[in-house]
Amino acid sequence: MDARSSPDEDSRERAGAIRTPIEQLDPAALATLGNLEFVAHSVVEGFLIGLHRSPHRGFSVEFAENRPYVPGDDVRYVDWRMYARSDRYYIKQYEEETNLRAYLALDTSRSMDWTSTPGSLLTKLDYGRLLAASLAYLLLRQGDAVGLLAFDERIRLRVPPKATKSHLAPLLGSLARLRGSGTTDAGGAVQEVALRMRRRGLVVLISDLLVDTGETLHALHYLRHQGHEVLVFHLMDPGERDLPEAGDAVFFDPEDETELRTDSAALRPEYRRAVEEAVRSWGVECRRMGADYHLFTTDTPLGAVLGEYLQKRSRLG
Amino acid sequence: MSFLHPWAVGLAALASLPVLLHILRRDTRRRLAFPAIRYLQRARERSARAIELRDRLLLATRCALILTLAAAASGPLFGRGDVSDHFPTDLVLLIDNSGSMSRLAGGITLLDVQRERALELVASARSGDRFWILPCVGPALAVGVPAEAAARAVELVGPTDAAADLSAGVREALRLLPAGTTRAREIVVLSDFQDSALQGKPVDLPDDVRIVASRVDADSANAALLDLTVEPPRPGHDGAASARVASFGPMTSDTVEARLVVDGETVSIARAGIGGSVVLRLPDPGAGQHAISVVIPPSGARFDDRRPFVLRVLETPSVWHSGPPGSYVSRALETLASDGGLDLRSTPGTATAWFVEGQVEGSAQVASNGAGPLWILTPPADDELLARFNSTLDRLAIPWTVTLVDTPGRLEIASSPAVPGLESIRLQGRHRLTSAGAGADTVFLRASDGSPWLVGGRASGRKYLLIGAPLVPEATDLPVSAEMLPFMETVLFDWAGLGGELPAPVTAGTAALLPADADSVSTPEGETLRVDGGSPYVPLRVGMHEIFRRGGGTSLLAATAPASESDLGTAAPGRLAGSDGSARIMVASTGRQWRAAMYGSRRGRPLAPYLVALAVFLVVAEAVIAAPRRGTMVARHHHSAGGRS
Repeated sequence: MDARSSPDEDSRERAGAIRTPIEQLDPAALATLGNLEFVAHSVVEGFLIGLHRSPHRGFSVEFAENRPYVPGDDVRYVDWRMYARSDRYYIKQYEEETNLRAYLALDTSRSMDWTSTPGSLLTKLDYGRLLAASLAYLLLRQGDAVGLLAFDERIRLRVPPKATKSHLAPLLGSLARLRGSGTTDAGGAVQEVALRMRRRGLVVLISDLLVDTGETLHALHYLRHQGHEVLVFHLMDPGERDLPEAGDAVFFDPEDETELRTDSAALRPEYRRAVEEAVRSWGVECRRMGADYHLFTTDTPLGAVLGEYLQKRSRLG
Repeated sequence: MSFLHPWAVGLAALASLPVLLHILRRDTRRRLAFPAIRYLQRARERSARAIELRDRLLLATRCALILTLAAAASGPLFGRGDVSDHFPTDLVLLIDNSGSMSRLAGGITLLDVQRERALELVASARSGDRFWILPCVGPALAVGVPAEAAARAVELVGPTDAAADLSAGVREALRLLPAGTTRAREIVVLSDFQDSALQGKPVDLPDDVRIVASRVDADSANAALLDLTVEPPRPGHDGAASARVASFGPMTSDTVEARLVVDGETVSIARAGIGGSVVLRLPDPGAGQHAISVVIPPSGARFDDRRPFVLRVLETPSVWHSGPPGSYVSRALETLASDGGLDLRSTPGTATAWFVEGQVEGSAQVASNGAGPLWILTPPADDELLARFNSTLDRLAIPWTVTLVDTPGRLEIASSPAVPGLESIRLQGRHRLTSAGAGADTVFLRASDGSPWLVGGRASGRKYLLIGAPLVPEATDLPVSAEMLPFMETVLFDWAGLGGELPAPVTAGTAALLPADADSVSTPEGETLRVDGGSPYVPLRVGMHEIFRRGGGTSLLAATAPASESDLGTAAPGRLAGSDGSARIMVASTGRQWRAAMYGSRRGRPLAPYLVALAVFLVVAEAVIAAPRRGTMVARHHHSAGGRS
């Protein structure tokens, strides 16, 4: 399905009325633009247009089976057979980019289905959904195969990786139907991915990482051991990063109903430190195993997240 | 500690509010979903002690804040505030104006010092205060008056030479002070607290009455004339005045010059050693009324530097004698008449005195002619006439009878300082004087068994002397002894009063009965007072008080200071009250102590401004304790700027 033909006209008009580059829009505002496919299309296309004006020029993300060589192209991508036949240089980009098989592992536990400011901020799950859709669109647009794994304490959705354009619509439809539920077993989900990915590929973990850290790191390490590239997108609500001024209240974990009675004002500094330590720990552990780790709050424009992905993608070649 | 609004103290109960809220809110706290609770738990574990401390500090601060505000609202007053800021007070100012208060301290009298203090007290009064001005000597000068009238009354408290009774004064003050009011009650005693003024029974002080004792001490020594005795002159003999000179405090000299002043003229001078006695010759001043004083130079207290007395000397007395011719009495009277001491008359006529020796004729004369001015009577030597003699005594209303004893024993006349040597005089002891209930009569001489032998008194408006035995050798050997003439002199001139009159001086501050025709009195200070004849008169100053009579004559009244007033020893003011109340007597000796002691019901210094300041401090402290730390602010800033770590 052509992503460019599906968005309705109203959504187009609304997108056109926004003068800010669409990939730099506030995610909550972005989510109002229309269905997931349109949003993903708008984000990715807007992002790519912006990218051509960016210092990343030279890295070809334009899909073409054979295009004429232009000075500056990486000679590794020259199609020597075409050169032998036609005595012209063509870039064999098509075959190269379809080598990547990516798995998007999206955490759909109940903790993800939470926002500190309903109406203003997306839930982590919605943000993750948007992010996964955009990544899927981008991956498929580049000819990469993309699969999806949604999990809480169990695997809720599994979409095998495919590189066809027709794969996008059902994938996004599945994404759209996901609801937050249950606790989290990220380690189990990652191991599931490892079992199913026979060829080396890219695993993108999208989660709030309110998980069993040891098990999850162990699973990620296993992935790396299998030769997979790992990209961890740690999603965090701004209200989780800085404790909201709730005063004296009873806080409870939406996943397991664990309660904590405390005065938030008194704990804010220590809380902030605890969060920073956790983030630092995730970053250190991921770097140690060679995985990329990025923390995003749910008010971060998606363009920034896609940028991180493309950097990773460029390193993968 | 007191409160302007005591009811507001109850607001302190609100201090329990934070605790109650803390308890109640446990169950009503908001319940918030928060996925990142693990970080919250970690943070709480790390700062559990700090949070607990902070919570307790916050709770304590909030409780303290409420307590402070409640305390401030109640208007607490601490210590003693300004003298003019006190609760409405009823004050009795008991001002000692006794003689000892005329001593000097710093160049002014003690009374002036105390009056200045009293005026200072009155000047600090509030509009609701009421005053009673009560001098120790004299009537109350102000009763329940406001400050202005009280100040005028204080000015009217004049000096006296009388003695004070501070205990009685405090009792009177308590009687004057209205009870059962919500007003503070105070008695302010302004005195030198002379020991002699504190001899009364201690006062039972009510719990709500406070006594302030304003005490001042004199800075001058005092020499005093004490124990004055006067021997009036007799025809042909000078009299004498003697006194003891005592000192209180170190004197600059061991002796003082004592003078005897008669009618304003010094007639005798002698040096007297301090602590010794002095005897001054008193020459016969001639017939008439004489103002006489023994005087020493002025010292600390003036009232005891002079001891005044009045001497009334009669014209040469005339005596009619009725008795056996040639009797011993007759011869003694003739002897005295020959010396010019008396005029012996042959007929009663206008004789000053009638000397009747138990003669029936004489007795009848006395009985029928009751106009005789003075009777000197002896029982008849003839026992058979004794009944008629007693009958005469009865008709003359003389409350004595003469009886005969069946078994007489040998007796002597008891010794008398008036007539030295009488103690060796024998009495036959046959006659006995029996009283018929005349308690007011004077017994001048007694027998050695204690029975009266020479008595005197007034009967039918006239003076009489009754000798207990006939003056014959058969009844007593007095007539034939050398003491007969001195005895007769003493009987006539001293006991019968023919030599003159020496009225006992009146003690200043005590009442003397004025003559029935008295019209006015001139005091020693020259002030003339209108008086009612026959009414009591209380001389307040030492000296001669001249009584003017409606008929035109005058008589003198000598007022002398009470001997006790000269003893200038002092005592603790606590003796005013019993042991329970003495602790509530505040003594102020110096001016500073006095100003501090004035008005015990002062409101105290208001603490509210300090409490408000403390409340502000607590509010700030609460805000600081409750506020998020700076680290949070930095983190938020960083987050909003970067958006990603």
